Amino acid sequence: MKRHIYILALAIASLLAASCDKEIGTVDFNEQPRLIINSLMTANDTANFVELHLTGNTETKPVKGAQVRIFVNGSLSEEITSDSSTYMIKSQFESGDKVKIEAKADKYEASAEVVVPDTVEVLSIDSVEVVMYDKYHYAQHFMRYFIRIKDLSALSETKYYRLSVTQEVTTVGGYGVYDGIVDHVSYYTYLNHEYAYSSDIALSEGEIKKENNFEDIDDIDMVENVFNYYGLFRSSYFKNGEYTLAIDIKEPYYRSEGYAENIQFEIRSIPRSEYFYLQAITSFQNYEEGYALSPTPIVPSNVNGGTGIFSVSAMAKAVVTRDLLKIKKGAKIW
Amino acid sequence: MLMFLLSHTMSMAQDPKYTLVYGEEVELKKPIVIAPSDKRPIKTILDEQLKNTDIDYKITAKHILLFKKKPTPATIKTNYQFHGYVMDSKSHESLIGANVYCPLLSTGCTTNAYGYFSIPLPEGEYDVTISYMGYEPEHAKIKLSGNTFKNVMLNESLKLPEVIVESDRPDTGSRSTRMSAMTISPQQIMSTPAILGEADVLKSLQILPGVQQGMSGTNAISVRGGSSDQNLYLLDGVMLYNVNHFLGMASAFMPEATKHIDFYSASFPARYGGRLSSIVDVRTKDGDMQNFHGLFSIGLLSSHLSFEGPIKKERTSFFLSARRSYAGWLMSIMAKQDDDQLKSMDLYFYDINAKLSHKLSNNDRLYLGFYQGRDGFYEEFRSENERYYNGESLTDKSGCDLSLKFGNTLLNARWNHIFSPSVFGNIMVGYNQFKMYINNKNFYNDDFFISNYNSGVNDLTAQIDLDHHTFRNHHIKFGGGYTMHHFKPETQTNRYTESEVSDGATTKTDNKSTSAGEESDGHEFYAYIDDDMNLSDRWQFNAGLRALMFSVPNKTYPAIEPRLSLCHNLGGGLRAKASYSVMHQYAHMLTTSTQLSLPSDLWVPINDKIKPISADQWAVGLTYDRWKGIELQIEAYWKEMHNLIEYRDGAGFSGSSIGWSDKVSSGNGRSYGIELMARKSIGRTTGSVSYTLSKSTRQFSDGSISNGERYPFEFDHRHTFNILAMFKATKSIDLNATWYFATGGYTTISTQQTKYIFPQQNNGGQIFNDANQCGSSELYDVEYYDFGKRNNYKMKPSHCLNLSVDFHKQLKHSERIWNISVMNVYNNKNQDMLYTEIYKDKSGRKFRKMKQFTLMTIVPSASLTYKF
Repeated sequence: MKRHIYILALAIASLLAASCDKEIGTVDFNEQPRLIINSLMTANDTANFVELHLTGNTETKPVKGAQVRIFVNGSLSEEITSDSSTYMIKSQFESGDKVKIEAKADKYEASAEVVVPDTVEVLSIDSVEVVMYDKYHYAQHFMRYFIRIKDLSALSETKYYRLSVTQEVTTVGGYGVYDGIVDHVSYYTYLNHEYAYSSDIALSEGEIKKENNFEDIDDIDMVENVFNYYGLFRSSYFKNGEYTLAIDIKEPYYRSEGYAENIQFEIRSIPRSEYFYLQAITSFQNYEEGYALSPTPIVPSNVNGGTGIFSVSAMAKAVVTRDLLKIKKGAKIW
Repeated sequence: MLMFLLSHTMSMAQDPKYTLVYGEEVELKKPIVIAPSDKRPIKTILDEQLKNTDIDYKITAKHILLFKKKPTPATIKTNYQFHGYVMDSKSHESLIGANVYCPLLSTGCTTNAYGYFSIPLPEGEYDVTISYMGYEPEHAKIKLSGNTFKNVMLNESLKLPEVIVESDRPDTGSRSTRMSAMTISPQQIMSTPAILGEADVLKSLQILPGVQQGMSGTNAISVRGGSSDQNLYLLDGVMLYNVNHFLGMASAFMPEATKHIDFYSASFPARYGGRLSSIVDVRTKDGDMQNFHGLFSIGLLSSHLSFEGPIKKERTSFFLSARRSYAGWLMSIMAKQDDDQLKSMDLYFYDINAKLSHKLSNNDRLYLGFYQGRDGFYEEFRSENERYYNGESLTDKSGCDLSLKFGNTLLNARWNHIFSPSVFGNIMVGYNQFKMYINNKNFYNDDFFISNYNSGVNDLTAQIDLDHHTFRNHHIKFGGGYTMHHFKPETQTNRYTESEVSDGATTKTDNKSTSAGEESDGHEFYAYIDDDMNLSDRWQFNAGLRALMFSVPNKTYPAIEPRLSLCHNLGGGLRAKASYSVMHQYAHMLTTSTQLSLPSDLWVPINDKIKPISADQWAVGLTYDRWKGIELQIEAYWKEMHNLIEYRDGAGFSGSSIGWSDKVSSGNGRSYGIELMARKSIGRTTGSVSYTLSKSTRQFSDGSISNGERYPFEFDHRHTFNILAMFKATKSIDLNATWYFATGGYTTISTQQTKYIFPQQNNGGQIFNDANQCGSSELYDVEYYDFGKRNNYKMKPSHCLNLSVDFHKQLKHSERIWNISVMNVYNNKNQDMLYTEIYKDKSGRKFRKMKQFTLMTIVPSASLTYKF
């Protein structure tokens, strides 16, 4: 909606006031480069990393060989360096830990600190099949999953979360039959991260929705879909510390050989700084270069002396598995 | 006094026993003689001889004591009230701020917002002068032997006024106790050049010192470093929330309906409250009690029509005014040429002002007022597609209807009652609604999807205001009120109906969902008292106090607001002034643009987590009006603002208002400056020149905005210079010009490139085409614009010259006025917005380019008006 109101504003301005764009020239603000610390880590994960770069007038520069120190609850946990801009973190973090990073490269220094939030508790998962229409008005079959979660720490203050979904679908690539029995079979697996959330108040943040948020609708409307790209939501919608997410996942296309499906729901409790950071990244969808009436998305940073985001989230998982494969080795076909 | 007793022996042949005794203070012009042959009692003889003297006596056993009589007290004269209404002689429209002055006693007053005056004068005969700008002064001889009521009729002046009558006008102007206060005349509004010839109240405020304007051509104003939601707009005493049309190109106030405007940027009278930075009090016309007349105007942006007259002469009158824009019709014609699916389209705004006035008696008057203003946009698309199914030709019909509307509706009822000659009362009940709604309907054959979205705020107000004039050196105003605010930030209802055909059977589903923002009520109670005092010939003091309480669920916020103003007459037309005010504000506007007035702007109240914002403002100044019709003033101010609300960095653009208090940060603001103004109000050439040197900053110490550092407010123009000139070239030609210059305000632009990291998204793709995968396969990074801190770049100075000419012609039954105007005469490309982009040349080298957006270039316009 906001984007279209700005289009409306430009239309009015163009009609009434002969507005104009003008190029002024090339600029270099000669600002001192700042150290960029980017890290979205997960508690209890062994594959965390930190990316270091330097800001620049027209492009960033990777920072190699910097000294990076990680502190957990005030104690030095590890000191690392790297010959690339990616610094692998071996330290493991738990909910409640106060994690601090200090990075130093030549004359550039920066630091950041964050407290790892508590994980949510997944109480139950239910599902129901639903039918929705896409923009071509073809019926699409979805499985709607109701995931009930609980976070008692949300009773005392607002908590922030991020949802991601990985749907792994295994289908039959090819198979051979001998004497009516499947002799050999190969499988093909693909991943999908898409989901729809038009029935979920927290994920849709009360924004106006079309039939579903799954497909982009031609923007002939004043109302547009604003995708919640990172599945961000807040505990403002919880009741007594509990909430039921409603997530729609497209059913795999019908195949006579059947399919197997493994869906992993990752619900991360994230620090407030990560929530607002990703909210701002989302707003880049509405920001168009050269579109002067577009509001400026200022991305917040929690890095002192530099910029970027340093965050550790705590993840809770819910997994749903369905095995509807009809073709397996040794299975009788006829 | 000591008495020196002198003894004299009286020749008293008859009775030698008495001795006459009296002191120096007794002057015997003739000796007291008692003849021996006089047989009368001594008392009788003394009464006769001391008659018509100031000597009294006392007879004791042996003495006659003479002493001076005590003087009888002089007669104390009783004060009576000379009171009544001042009105236009033709229309009987009450005149606000007319001067009523008694030169003999050097005392006077001005009419209040309803045209009523009351002066306490001692019994006697007086010459009283009643005057008002644009009218011939009236000299009235009054003989006060009791409270005297008089309706004073003033005739419109055919020549320019030459007399400025002194008065200690309490509210605005150089001679008032107050400072930073001004009255804007309807004539000045009509004379200030405006975009597409659309004379506008807010545009006429933009030339005042201390008022910063926003994007060129818009009505955005920042008063002494305050944001746009800190200005209180009152229409006949009822508050309006959104006063802009067309995103700020025009305002809700129609000039032809406007009678009087008072503007305060400090030294606020105690009867006003609820906003921090300014008060714009607009009063509309009551309607001509004598004759019918009206106005019709057609311009490039809109057409206006107003009509007024008596329903019953001298008793009841009406006033009706309306305007509508038609820019959308032109857009519709152009758009239809490009898109054959577009069935209809319109973009418009309209205003309607209506008022009914009824005079019950000299003591009672009733008023009913109505206002509605709307902005609207709608479009309808229809399409039909042929398809074949099972050999059969079918037609699919689809379409989309979209409608956006927002605006104010206002109702008020007022009763003016003269409780006694010295007490005037105004009792008012009012209702105000601001609403925005979007209705969207998509359909495909029998399936449809409808969504409704609305947000708004409703106020219900009851208030009483009393003016008390009993004491000559005190003008006391007091009163109180209650307002119930109902905030409804967002409510959204979706409904879709779809049918599915399967195995020859049709299944229809109907789904409905509703989500709502946090509706809340705020209850505001207030009481005030304000005394404008003449301490002596040289000193005037206004002491006011406003006590208020704002109650929201789970929390009540009480507050006391002192309002003090002091004026010292230094003589020779020079006056020194000082003031101190405290203001509180209980509602904020959540907006993503302070420059444009957007329908998506949400008004939200304070709650138990977010405190009211408040401001302390100190001001000192000098005014000088020694020369007739010329006024000079210099003021310095310092304003501290507390608990200001801003969206945190990154929080403003997504999501609803649910839990809005999580998305905002609370901080403070500081604003200070010096303002100079020279104004000429009589003669063929009138106008003003003003200069402001000021600074305004913000700071949010929790680090959520600009890392907690103090940063410049975007309306922080260090130097601002304004000129308004109105020249009456001939009897039928008026020339008007405005020119403003301001050093650049601040904006946020990208000054460097940075890296953003983000996880896998739910739509399967990536926002940024050039995103890289880094580290874990679930995380990506992309190089993009870094905007750093808020308001990190100072724009270039902006300046603009606007000219307009009015050609008047008196026709048989009407007056015709052609207005030709040109905005931005020398086509200066002001930097209304700035942004940077990264470019690559053919060799792959990258450059950062800066671009600017100018909202208004040279814009000529014309309009035609008939007054009948």
